[in-house]
Amino acid sequence: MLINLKAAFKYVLRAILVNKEWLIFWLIIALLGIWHICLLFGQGDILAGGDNYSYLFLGRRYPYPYLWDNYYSFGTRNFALPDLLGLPLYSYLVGFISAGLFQRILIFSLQLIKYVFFIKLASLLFNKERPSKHPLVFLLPCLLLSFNAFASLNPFTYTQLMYDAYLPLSLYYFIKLYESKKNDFSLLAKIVIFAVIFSPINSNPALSLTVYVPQAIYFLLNLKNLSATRVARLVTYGLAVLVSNLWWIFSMFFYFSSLSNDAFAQGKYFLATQVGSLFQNFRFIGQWGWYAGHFLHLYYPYSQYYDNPAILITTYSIVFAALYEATKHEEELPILRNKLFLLGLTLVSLLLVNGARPPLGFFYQVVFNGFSLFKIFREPFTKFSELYVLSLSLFFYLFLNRVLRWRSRGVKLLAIAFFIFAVGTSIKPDFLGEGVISYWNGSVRTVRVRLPGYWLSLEEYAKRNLAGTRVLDTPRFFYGGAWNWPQGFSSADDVAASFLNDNVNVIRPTVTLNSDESLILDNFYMYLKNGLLERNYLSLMGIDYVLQENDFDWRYTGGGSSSPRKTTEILDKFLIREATFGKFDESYLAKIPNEDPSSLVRNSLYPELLGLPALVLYKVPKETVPPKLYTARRIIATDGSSVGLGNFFTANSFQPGDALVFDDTVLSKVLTALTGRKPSPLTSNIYSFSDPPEIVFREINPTEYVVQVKSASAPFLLLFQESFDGNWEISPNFANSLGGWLAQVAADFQRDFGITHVSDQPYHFESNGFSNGWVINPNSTFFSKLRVAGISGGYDLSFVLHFRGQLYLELLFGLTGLVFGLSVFYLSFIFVKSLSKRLADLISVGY
Amino acid sequence: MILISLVLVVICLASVFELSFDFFVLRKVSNRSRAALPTFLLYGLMAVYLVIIQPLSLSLVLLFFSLYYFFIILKRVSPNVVLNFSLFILLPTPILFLAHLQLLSEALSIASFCLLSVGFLARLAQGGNHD
Repeated sequence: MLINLKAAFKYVLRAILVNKEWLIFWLIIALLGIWHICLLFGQGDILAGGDNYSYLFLGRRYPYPYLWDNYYSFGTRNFALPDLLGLPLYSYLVGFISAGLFQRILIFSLQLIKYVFFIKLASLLFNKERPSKHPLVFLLPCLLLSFNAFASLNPFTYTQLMYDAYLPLSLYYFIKLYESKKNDFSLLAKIVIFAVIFSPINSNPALSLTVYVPQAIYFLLNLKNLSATRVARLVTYGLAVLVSNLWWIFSMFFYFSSLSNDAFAQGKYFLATQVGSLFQNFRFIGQWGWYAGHFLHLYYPYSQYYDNPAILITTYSIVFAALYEATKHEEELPILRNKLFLLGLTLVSLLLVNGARPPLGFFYQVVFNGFSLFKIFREPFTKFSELYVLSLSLFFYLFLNRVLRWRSRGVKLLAIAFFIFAVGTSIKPDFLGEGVISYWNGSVRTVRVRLPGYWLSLEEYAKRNLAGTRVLDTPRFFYGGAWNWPQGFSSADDVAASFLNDNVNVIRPTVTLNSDESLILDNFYMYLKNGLLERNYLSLMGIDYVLQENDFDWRYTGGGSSSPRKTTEILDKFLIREATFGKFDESYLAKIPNEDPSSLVRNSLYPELLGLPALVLYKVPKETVPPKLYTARRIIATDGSSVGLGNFFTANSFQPGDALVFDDTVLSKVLTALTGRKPSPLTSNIYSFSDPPEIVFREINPTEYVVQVKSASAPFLLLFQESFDGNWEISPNFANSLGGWLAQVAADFQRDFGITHVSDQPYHFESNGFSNGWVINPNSTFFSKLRVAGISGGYDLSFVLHFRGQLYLELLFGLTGLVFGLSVFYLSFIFVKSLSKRLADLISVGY
Repeated sequence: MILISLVLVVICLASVFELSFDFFVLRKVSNRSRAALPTFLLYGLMAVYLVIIQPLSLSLVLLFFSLYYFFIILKRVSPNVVLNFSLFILLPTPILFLAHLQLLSEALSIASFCLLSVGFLARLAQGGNHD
């Protein structure tokens, strides 16, 4: 064994010395990468903000493999599942290092993977016939690939960085698989493993789909080489990719199928299909806001830099050099063929980037108008540009390789010097981190963030005391709100959602709320702002705590949020402070930037905050908060309007056992199901139950609750305080039993595919304006197998409340896990086998 | 300057349209191969659609297809010439952009893109996809 290790060490050392040119190349790449990371982060601990707020989840949010997401207000169908193996898994695996350090390692590693597979791809396409003259010839194309003007739009967005790495990687393996002379299962195994590892890119489906564009072009251009073996190989490839992706495809399909009146159908979406110009697209520029600005600053302060005559010439000279290489005729047929593929990719990507603009934009427009799914490509520049960047960088590499073969040493050196200058000037803004927002701009603050200690204290407090509770955030948060931190922060979601984890349901306005939930929440904030809030409104929503964020900058919400002092005063009137975190004293306030040009706005900040705690946590009295599952004592009818709700809360006291029903038709159906006859009008709009049965429940996971009802003899209402969704269902208890689980999967499958008819579920309706209600009749046929005679009369019921679809997801997880596991096992087996053989060979030749 | 560039583009497009139509007719009368029929059908449908929706696109699509027929099927000009010409057109675009002739710069970029496409198809037709 010792001899083997010694031999291996000698072999590796020799290999390094032989390839010292590559060692130099990777050293330069690593040093440049570290320099770039240092510039990117500046004085910040972590980069987060805007749409990239989810970096705050690093080290906080762990894998959440459920189809129902109860981190969102009142719960919703989970649309974050594609990211399951991304930041949440990293948090779980590398929680022992700080989030900031891990973020740096993540960005650096993704860039490194991109370079590796870019070089492998270039070598695969061209090196057999035309080997690279020197490893350093890859340096400029790699830098161009990473830090061009397009890359500066998302300098640290991890989905984009991951996609940028996966694009050359996936294309490399596809071509290798397509061109391999024999069936190589190790390639398939690698494809499966990388598809799973890089699955977080599917959080942006529009971007992830474009990975298949170059593969499709390569396939189409090589149709003449198609053979039965290749077809079989491609089918296997397709199946392997599909199987390893089914779990997130299912979850996304499941999520989007719930959006019956989605934004796309209503035409209410941002559209940028006709923005920009082809001239600019040629040199990686074309974002809709390239020259635009917000408040005090431009979105991209370096946009003018790119229009400087010298920079314009240098950026175009790179494009021109690459296109010169693209159009240059070749004698060697494999090179010609691969160059044609890249030229095809260049043109198709430019055409797609061009969107609905002339010359062929009408094609795009026709598809865009005709197919709902294609509407995810409403910003073509941001989705297709990387394809163009990749193909042009490959051409640029070929061009530089050609330059190195020129005979005249002087001209060669001059050309190399010029292109070093050209690439240097082209990548300057992104490489130096100028795309990272580092200024105060009203509702936009720096993304170089340092987390205030009081938020970390709240986080610690929440871990100990708030697990399994529902916390409502005040003041009202608006998309793109800002927080007054010394290293300020702005976010697309309320920052509390990042710090309150461990099954804490943070209630705040989010884009996923449907109209009914929005009505409830909007009314709450309106009453709060106007000082008309009734405490029983919190009971309706099942709120356990209220968190007042005094550091949220109310000044840039268009008057939508009350000032911190006013809100704190209102909340102090009818809630008890549970805890406070941080305090705004003069020395702390002096660190908070405040640069509004209007002195009125500017001067309103410090007096408002002075002396206030940064965060206040209020507790809602326990006796007024209904449990997550309860049986109703009364049904109260009210109309679902803001006026109706306002009148209701002024005149009534919502009790924990009450059920509000907004809709007359629903009310009529509920009463019919309860009484078994046509309902008569309610007295005072109230229906009372004489003796509702008691229930006990246990949460198995966010999609599964075991419920036991004692002595139920008459129909009653079961209420479940999560967002209404038709997929919440009552089924036999299958918890902790593989047999039961399989039987339930089979039952769901048979019903969903119309194989068997299952007796109807109890009547399920929306109660309390957002939650689920069921009319349970213990005497009905549906419960015949779920009941036993109760000791004190009636029936004892035992069943599971589960979110249908979760079992399919678990099945698909198993399938992906199996394929992934087999792939890892196969590759490990091959690796160990080849390593043993190599060591044996080394020993035999005298190492 | 903008007015001049606009006039130039309009003249250019009008010529292109005229030229395209000529080639269209020329192709139709000179070659009645089976392969051309679906293309003609597509051509007709596109023309009807584009006349209503996007006259500018129509002109350029016609140019695209006309050049394709002209260069590839009639084999009068080689793909290399087309590709070289596309770069030749692209070359002055930054200068035009700097001279604030953005419209002309964009028109030339589009023309260059079209010619690149034509050259690509031509080279492909010549057998670039053989092993």
